[in-house]
Amino acid sequence: MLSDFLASLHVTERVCWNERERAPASRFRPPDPGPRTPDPGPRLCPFFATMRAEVTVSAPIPLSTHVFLVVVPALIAAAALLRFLLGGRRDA
Amino acid sequence: MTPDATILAVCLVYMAILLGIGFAAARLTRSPEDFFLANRSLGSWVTAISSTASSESGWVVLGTVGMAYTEGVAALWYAPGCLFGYWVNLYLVAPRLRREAERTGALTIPDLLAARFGDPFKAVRSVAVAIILLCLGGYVAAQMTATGKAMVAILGLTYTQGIWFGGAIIVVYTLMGGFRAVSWTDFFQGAIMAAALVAMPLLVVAEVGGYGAMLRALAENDPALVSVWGKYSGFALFGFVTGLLGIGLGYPGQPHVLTRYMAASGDEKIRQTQVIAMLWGVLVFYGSGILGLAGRVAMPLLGQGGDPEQLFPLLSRQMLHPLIAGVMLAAILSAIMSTVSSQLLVAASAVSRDLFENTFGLARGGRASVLGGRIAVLALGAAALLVALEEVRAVFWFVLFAWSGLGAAFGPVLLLALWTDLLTRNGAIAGMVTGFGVTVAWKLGGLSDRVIYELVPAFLLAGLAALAVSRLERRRTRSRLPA
Repeated sequence: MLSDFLASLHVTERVCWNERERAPASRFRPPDPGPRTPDPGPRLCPFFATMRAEVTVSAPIPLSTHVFLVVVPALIAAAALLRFLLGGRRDA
Repeated sequence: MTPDATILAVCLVYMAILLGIGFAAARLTRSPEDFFLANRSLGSWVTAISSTASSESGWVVLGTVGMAYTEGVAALWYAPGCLFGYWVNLYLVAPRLRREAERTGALTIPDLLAARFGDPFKAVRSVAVAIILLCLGGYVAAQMTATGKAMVAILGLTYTQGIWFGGAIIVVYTLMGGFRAVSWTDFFQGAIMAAALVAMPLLVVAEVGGYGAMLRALAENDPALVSVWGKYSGFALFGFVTGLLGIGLGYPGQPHVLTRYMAASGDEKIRQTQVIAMLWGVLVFYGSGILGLAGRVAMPLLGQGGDPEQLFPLLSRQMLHPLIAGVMLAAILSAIMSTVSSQLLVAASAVSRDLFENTFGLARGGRASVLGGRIAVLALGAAALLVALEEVRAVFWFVLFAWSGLGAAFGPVLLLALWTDLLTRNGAIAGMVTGFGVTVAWKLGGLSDRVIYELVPAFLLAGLAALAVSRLERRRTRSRLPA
């Protein structure tokens, strides 16, 4: 898997790099809250088509997702820091 | 200077720094304790970051990013799984392992097991060495292949040139500076990895409009991408989640990681190591996952027309100044090279220290021991280079079992040995053989894909086998004693 990736990397990177040289403008755009029309301009590099035209409605994000992505790592980091700051010499 | 030339220059400077570290460490390497364990002198930062960098190969900068891109939020179950493994290693294994290694004078994991259980027939040491060589031999060769191909991709060399160039640098600094060079270079490489996996996700998330916009865009594309359970349900969900969590069970059995704890200079260093390594893990594991999620928004067509594992290097080249992009690409090389040098040194120590010195009684002590270690690094490194050049498939077969085989063979035995008095010598051997055997059988039987990741059952069965054989042996011993 890794070797396949690395073997193909050189060619793909070259393609996208050359496209960037020619079209440096607006690759990434944050999705706007209001309705938008799709970008009519040519997409020189297929890998860099953005989703900005497709995001028109706010989809609900489950609370568990925020807990999983933000709260859990924050708790793990805080627990490690607190344990260090408060001592925790019993097993060390 | 063209962008490609700038990137090339950054990567060459990076290689030069690695070699410089190797030569600097060589000047401090005089005894076997120096060569195999840096004379137990590692500070907390080097112990923490070198141990974590050596356990995370290209998987963390390429594989997990691609997995998060493909699977969405649910892929990040690997993060708590790996951090659980870090916790077990840092809080349950590291303090006692360091003290036990210092007390017994052990320089390697087989050394420690032999000292702990007594090993008059060299059986414990032989089994441990065989498992280490079976798992790490192929792994080193495969990582050499990956190093060579990374050189092809980043430096524009041919495959053969890439193998020789990348492999030679790894072998030279490992051979010259031994454990100290490997630890220092791993520290340097781990710092680059962390910097890259903090900076890139922040940049890409900002580019796609922030955290909330990223999740909304993913949900619009496919609601399963923002679900903690992904597209799975029922037994498939159980297998997916336990498989990703189960990766963490492998950490307490990786000799190239455990030896870093043995080399820490004191208990207080281990205490500092715990917090540094945990924070490094949080940054790197969640950074790579968030990068994959944001990358899905930034490059939605990559999954259709290309390989999502290309995301990190592609984004680096597209978004960053070539100077910074060069550092990011050096982070990929760092992930691969830090692992291969650590594994190469552990495999070499298994051959020179455990096999030739302590099993066959050759070249014991002093300079002869250091020379033996260097010869083993050179011989194994050269063999791995040749295997990588020829791409001998039979050797790469062992790579499939490397992580889980080592984890299941050594993890339960070490945990039980460090925390209980329940294990006997034969129990330890039974645990190691069962762990490795079940891993191979489970994988070959196709159960890893159909049921659950092989490490979970292999780890549990290895622990049970070790306890059962130890108990039987104790009962038999008691029954032989006169009443």
